[in-house]
Formats: sequence, C-alpha cells, structure tokens
Amino acid sequence: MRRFFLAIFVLLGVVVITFILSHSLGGDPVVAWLGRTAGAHPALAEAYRIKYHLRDPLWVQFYYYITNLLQGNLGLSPSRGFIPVSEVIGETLPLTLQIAFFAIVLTLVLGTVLGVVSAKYHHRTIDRSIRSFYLAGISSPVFFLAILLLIVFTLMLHLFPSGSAADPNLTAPTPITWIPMLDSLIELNFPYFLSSVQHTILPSLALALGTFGVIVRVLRSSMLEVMHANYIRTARAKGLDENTVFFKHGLRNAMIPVVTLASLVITWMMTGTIFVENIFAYPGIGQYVFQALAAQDYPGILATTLVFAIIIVSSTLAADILYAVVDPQIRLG
Amino acid sequence: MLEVSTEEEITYLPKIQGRFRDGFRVIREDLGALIGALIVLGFVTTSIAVYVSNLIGVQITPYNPLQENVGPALAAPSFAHLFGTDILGRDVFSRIVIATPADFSVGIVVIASSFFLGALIGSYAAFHGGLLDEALMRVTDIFFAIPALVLAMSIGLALGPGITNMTVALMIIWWPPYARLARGEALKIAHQNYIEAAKLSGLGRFMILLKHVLPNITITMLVYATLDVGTVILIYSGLSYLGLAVRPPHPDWGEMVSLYQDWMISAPWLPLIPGFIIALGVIGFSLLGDGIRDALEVY
Repeated sequence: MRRFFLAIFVLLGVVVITFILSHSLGGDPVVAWLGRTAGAHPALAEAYRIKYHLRDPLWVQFYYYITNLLQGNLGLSPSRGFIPVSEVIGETLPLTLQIAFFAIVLTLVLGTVLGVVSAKYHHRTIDRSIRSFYLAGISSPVFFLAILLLIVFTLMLHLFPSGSAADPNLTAPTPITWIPMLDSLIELNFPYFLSSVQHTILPSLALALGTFGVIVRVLRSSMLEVMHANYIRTARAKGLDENTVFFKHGLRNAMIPVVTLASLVITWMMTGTIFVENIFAYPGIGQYVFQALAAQDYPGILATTLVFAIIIVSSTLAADILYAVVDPQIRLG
Repeated sequence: MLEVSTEEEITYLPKIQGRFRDGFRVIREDLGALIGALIVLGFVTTSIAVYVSNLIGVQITPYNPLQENVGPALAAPSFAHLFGTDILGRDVFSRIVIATPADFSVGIVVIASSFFLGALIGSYAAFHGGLLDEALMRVTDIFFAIPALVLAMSIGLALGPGITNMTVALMIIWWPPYARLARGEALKIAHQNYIEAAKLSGLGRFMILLKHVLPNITITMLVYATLDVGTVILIYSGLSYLGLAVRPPHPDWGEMVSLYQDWMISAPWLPLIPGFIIALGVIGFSLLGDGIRDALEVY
C-alpha cells in the first residue's frame, strides 16, 4: 500500500514539474496557438488569455491545470491542426504499445537466452563474443541501430516494409480494444494482422538491440552467483542431472533480479520510440513527440511527458509487486 | 595518540596504493579495458587538439569543415575524403573531427557536476537523516519517473536550443542517481570508528563530510561515473539528433545523423558513420569503466 501511495506521490511530483515547465517555456502560449492572428487582433488574444486563466495568479492556474488533467483535457495540439492532445494520444499510444510489446518480448528472449549461454560458458570465447555483441548494442545510439536496420532489411534486402503502422490498402479493423493488432485478430482479419506485425518487427528489433544487454549482464552475474548457493549443491547431491539443476534450480532463482530491471527497460524503450518511430515513419506516440518538438507544440510535449511518466511509474509499481510475488523473502513495505 | 595515527597510516596507505597499482596491472592485462582506454585517449587527444587549434586559429582537419564544395557532392569514402562528402560537398571526416570536443566536454562536465552535487547532497542527507533524507529520496523518485531524454528535452525547450543550454538541462536532471549512490555509501561508513573519532574530536558536521566521508565514497562513485560518461554522450547525441544542441552549419555527431539520414538510399554511409563514431566513444567509456571496476572490485 505504501508503494501505491508513493507512486501517486511521484506522479503528483511529475505533474508539478510539467506545470513549472509549461510556465517557463519561452513565448506567449496565446501567440503560439493563434499564430499571426494574435498580433492582428489584440482583443481576441486578450479574450483567450482570460478564457484560459493566463491572467490569474499561479496557484489558480495550477488548480485549473489539475482539474483539466483529471478530466483528461490536455489542451489542443498545434502540430496536429489543433485537435485535442488527448485524441492524438488515443490514436498514437496503442500503435506504440504494439512496438513496445514486441520489443519487450524480443529483449526478454534475447537477454535470457544469451545471458544463460554466457553464464553456462563463462570466460570462454562464446561468453566474450556475447559480451562484445551486447556492448555494441547498448553503446549504440538507438537512431543508429534503427537506420542500420532500415538500410539493411528494408532498402537492401526488401524484407520488411516501413512508412506506416500497417499496409494502408488493407481494411482496418473496427476499434474494439483500440489496439489495431488485437482488433484484427479478434475480427480474424489476418492480412491486416500480418501486415502490422511486419511493420512492427524492425522498430521493435531496433529497440530490443539497444536494451537486451542490460538483461544479459544482470542475468549472467546473478546466474553465476546462484550456482554457488547451497540449494544448488543440495540439488546436485540429490543426483539430479546438470541441466535440471541449471535450468530448474538455477535459472528460476537467477531470474528474480531481472524483474528489478523493468523500469529501466521501459524507460529506455519509451525514449527509444521517439527516434525509432521517426526513422521508420511509424505513426506512434514517439513520432508525435518528434513532430511536436519540431513545431514547438508545448501542450503535446507536456502531455506526452506525463503519459511516459505514468507508464514508467505504473510499470515500476507492477515490477515491485511482481518482485514480491516471485521472491517471498521480499515484503512489500 | 601519535602512535595510533602512524599505525593507521602504515596499514592504510599501502592498501590504497596497492589497489591503484592492481588497477593499472589489470588494465594492462585486460584486453577490453586496454582497448577502452585507447579509444578514450584517442577521443580526448582529438578534443584537445581541436580545442587548441581553434584557440590559435590553425586548421588541423584535412579540409575546412564548414566550407562547401571541397569535393563532389555525396562522394563515397576514399583517400581524398576518408568518410566521403555530403550533399553540399563538405568533407565529412573534417566535420566529425571538429565536433569531437562538444560531445566529450558535455559528457565530462555533466558527470563532474553531478558527481560533486550528488556526493554533497547524498552524504549530507545520509548524515542528517530525518525529513531532509526522506525529501531527497522522494525528489529523486520523481526524477527517475521521467525519462532523462524527455525531461532534458522539455527543459532544453524552455531554455532554448544550444550546447550550453543542453549541458545545463542535463546538469539539472543528472545528479539524483549520484545522490542516491553517495547516500548509500555514506550510510555504510556512518558508524565506522574513524567517523565517531572525528565527532568526538569536536569536528563540525561539514568538516567531517568534507575530510572523512567524501574521500571514502569517491572510489565507488568514480567507477559509476566512468561508466556513466557514455550514457551522457548517448543522451546528448539524442538531443543533438532532435536538433536541440547546435545550430547548422556547425556540425555535431547526433545532428549529422539526422541531417544525413535523408540520403540513406544514395549514400548509406553518411548517417552510419557519425552514428558509429558515437557508439565507439560510448564503448570506449564502457570498456574502461568495466576494467576499472574489475580492477578495484568495488561492486
């Protein structure tokens, strides 16, 4: 319960920070919204200032800011033709969740397999090659990885398409869960499902290549540590074969510290989508951040900052709870 | 009294010296750490050379990095143009060399400021305890919840683009992990005898922090910091890619990737080379940091 309140507190802090930021951002927001019209019609600009409480004291503005937030009113987005920011996020976030889902699966698979191999053959050549491989991955800027994948797999080998979230010529599924990939599965619209998977693979691979290294690193060292534990000696003494000991007794326990990496991994993925979606022209929330940044669309940037923070805080909370479930020695404080 | 202090020195000093000597030995024997040290050394030398040449007004690059049409547009890498030329016929190798000091100095400056700020705040909180300590931990919680790049991006927008402003934005957000680390390390030594002795001898809290706590937590923090320089360079290159760091025509690695990605069909090496250079710098610091960590066995 304490953790839950802490999460709420952290989110509140994030809201305060975004509020402060929104007020220190340069320029008059009314001028930013209205463009040239503001200069031509000072009375109109003044009316907007009064309508949006820009003439009120700061704490009153904060009150309105919070009330608007709670009502899901995040302002209008100049970079998207002044449609509500909440609508833009509603459109883009599900697409990003598709990428994030595949990226997390790829990260876990790559990280676990290579981590186990590394631990099993530690200090041998294969361990060293894996280390070089993941070191190259985590050291590369994610935009470099994305461009590399795009050049090799799309431009040279023509294996995967890019440029949208799915083939625009296919009939899109009706929104049920609002996540197109799931919706197309529910409607048994397989061509659309396949197309969206094809469009998702390279962006999520780019994200995974930059992230899986942390898992390999942690899993390898925790595996090596676990294999020296007393219960491993007991298991071996019982006469179990080495594979059962390694995977059933070793790996299971070695996976526990990996859970704590969840918030780190999610943070990297969220940051990565800004670059990856831009490079693959994938219309997710990351591309929105990129475009909002170019157009100085402050409501968009602040809202996406908040959305990113909510995702990170809730996944950290989930990881903490999961941690307590998989390791009974940890008690939720 | 005198006897005690000399005895302590005798047991203490050789240990530290031994650790550093071990460190150099391990770096010599550990191929990875050696490569890392060489890469970092290479970049540092380039940075200093470029900086000095800027000061005295000498051109050390084969071509003027800002001058257009020094070669044919979009030429492939060759001996005349090591990394090829861009659409305006500018020499890419010269542009990459000239951008080195920016990326490296941002990394070093941000880490150095976070190191000192974090060490001071963290160890003070550990010794003070109570409400201040709790407040610090919660503030760092909030900072952890927003991705560094996104926060730096918003602060950077508020300050306006530019290398100095991006450095300031990164300095504002980068210290919390250092404060946490310093706090943890300081808590470990808070009840050591020499701290008690310093307290008994009537030393003020601030002097205890300065003379006894900080020197003893630096090694752990130094290892973390070395590994972290690469991360700052990565985030900075991201900001630069987003167009927040330098104004064209001035080159910067991240900005070059985003500028050159438009030609990835006709000249795929153009965006790949600056991206690879960033990765190389980050790998250098990772390998070096890993090597130092193994040598000192801090973790």
